[in-house]
Amino acid sequence: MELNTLTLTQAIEGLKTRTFSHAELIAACTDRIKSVEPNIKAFITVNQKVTNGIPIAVKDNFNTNDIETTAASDILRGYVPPYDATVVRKLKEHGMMILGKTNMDAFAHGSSTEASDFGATSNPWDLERLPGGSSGGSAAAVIADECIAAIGSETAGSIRQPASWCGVVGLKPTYGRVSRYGLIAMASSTDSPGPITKTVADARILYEMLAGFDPYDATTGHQPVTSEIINIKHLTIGVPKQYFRSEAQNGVNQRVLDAAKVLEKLGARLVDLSLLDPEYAVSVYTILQRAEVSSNLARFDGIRFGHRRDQFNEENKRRIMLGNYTLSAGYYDAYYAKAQKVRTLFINDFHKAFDAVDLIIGPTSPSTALKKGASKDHVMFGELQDILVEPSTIAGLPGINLPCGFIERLPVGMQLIGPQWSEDKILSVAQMYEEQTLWHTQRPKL
Amino acid sequence: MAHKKLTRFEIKHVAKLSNLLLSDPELELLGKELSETIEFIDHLSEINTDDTPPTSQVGGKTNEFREDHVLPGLSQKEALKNAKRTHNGYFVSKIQWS
Repeated sequence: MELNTLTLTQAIEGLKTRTFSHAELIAACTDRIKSVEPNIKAFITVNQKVTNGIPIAVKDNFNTNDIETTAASDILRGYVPPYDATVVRKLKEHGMMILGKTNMDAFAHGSSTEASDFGATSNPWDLERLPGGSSGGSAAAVIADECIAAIGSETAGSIRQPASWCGVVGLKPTYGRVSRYGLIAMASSTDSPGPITKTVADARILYEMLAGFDPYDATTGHQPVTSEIINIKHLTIGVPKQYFRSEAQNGVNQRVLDAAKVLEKLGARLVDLSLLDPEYAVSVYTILQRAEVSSNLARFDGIRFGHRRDQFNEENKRRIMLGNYTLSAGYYDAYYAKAQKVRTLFINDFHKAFDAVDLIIGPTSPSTALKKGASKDHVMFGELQDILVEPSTIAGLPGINLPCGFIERLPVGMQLIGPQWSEDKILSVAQMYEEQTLWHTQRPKL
Repeated sequence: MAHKKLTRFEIKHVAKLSNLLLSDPELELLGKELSETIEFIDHLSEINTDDTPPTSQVGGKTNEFREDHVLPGLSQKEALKNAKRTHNGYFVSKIQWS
């Protein structure tokens, strides 16, 4: 077995029993990168200086000390941070090493990785297709076995949707569970770092490594990070009709309903659920995200770091402009304030739902991976791709993507959403599902 | 809600607020695209929020305090390392007129 194909769990075990060395594990990944990267282009930077640790790919919007960090934007080309993000520091403290920095939509503005200033990443299942985004490089690197595991960040779908399109596990933790310190900000009220991995067990290892209060990010919670395994037999899982949309690609809804049946066989009780139409969440998110982007990207003045503001790409400019428009005098109440009120309705809606159910199941994305070019000339491309993950995002809820089948050799993903701080429950159910299926063991031919 | 088609004057104003220098074709294109997006998000006005308070945060936290100790930060050299222009240990910026 090639060492680069190992899961994180297997890599930790193999190193412990001295079956192989760190150097061999790293060499297997760098050899794989050399062989497949010309086609995949998952990495912006490959770290040449590492000799020790378990190779983890990190999205290029996490500051990494002494390793170029660009957020896939021309404006940060050449920027070498003088410090590590908390996520990166914790990885290193736990014996992980930064194998490289992965491609993304510039400043995470997108759901295709096509809006990268460094060129698009290809989906390893079909090189003519998109990996999803914005953490598309991380998801592609994992399924292509270029790394043992990866880190992504999600503002609305940016972990779960590329995980779905690439057929890997992606956990978006509760907002405030994992520190944002050193993560190049997109929308500060929803940004959530999280793992993208080959298995649920791996996602749990990385999640437990990264979660917890950080004095450098005041929005992180003090809730204890536990490692509880919760029995599915006592759980009720809601199936919301609004998430199984008629316009979804043929077959996607059925794959997810089949997965729900697996959970039922394991002992969970399935109940029908009615939630607010996710289409309204798209608009809420669009307004809030642009507003926060316009404020967060104001710091790029080319004085302290980075280049001039004319280096922002079209998508970045579009988002900054809309944000400033909705926050400007005369429009604030109609757009920003209105969006925050509708956000409250979504939060209340989920509260009500979680009085009746433990978790919610639905497709992660209405389709399998789309062809390259699909995002071009569609101003709302990203938001409409992320329609099924945006409601939980604006409510700050945790969710996971799991591979649950294939349509014409392209992976389909399902998501499990839970109440805030319910990662243990989500991971437990995800783990039990994974043990019953072989979807996560499938690999593209490269 | 507000009118849907942005005027050229509005687009120029927003570009100024955004500290973006845009070419005429860019102004034209962004104006069109922003109008499309605004038309899309306009459906929020269908939802009654008269008695709904706005969300200010989702984490449920109140203030987070720490002891007022000086902690180590970046050195001057580190802080300046990515600056295009420096002078005597300072960043150099264009003259700012208010």
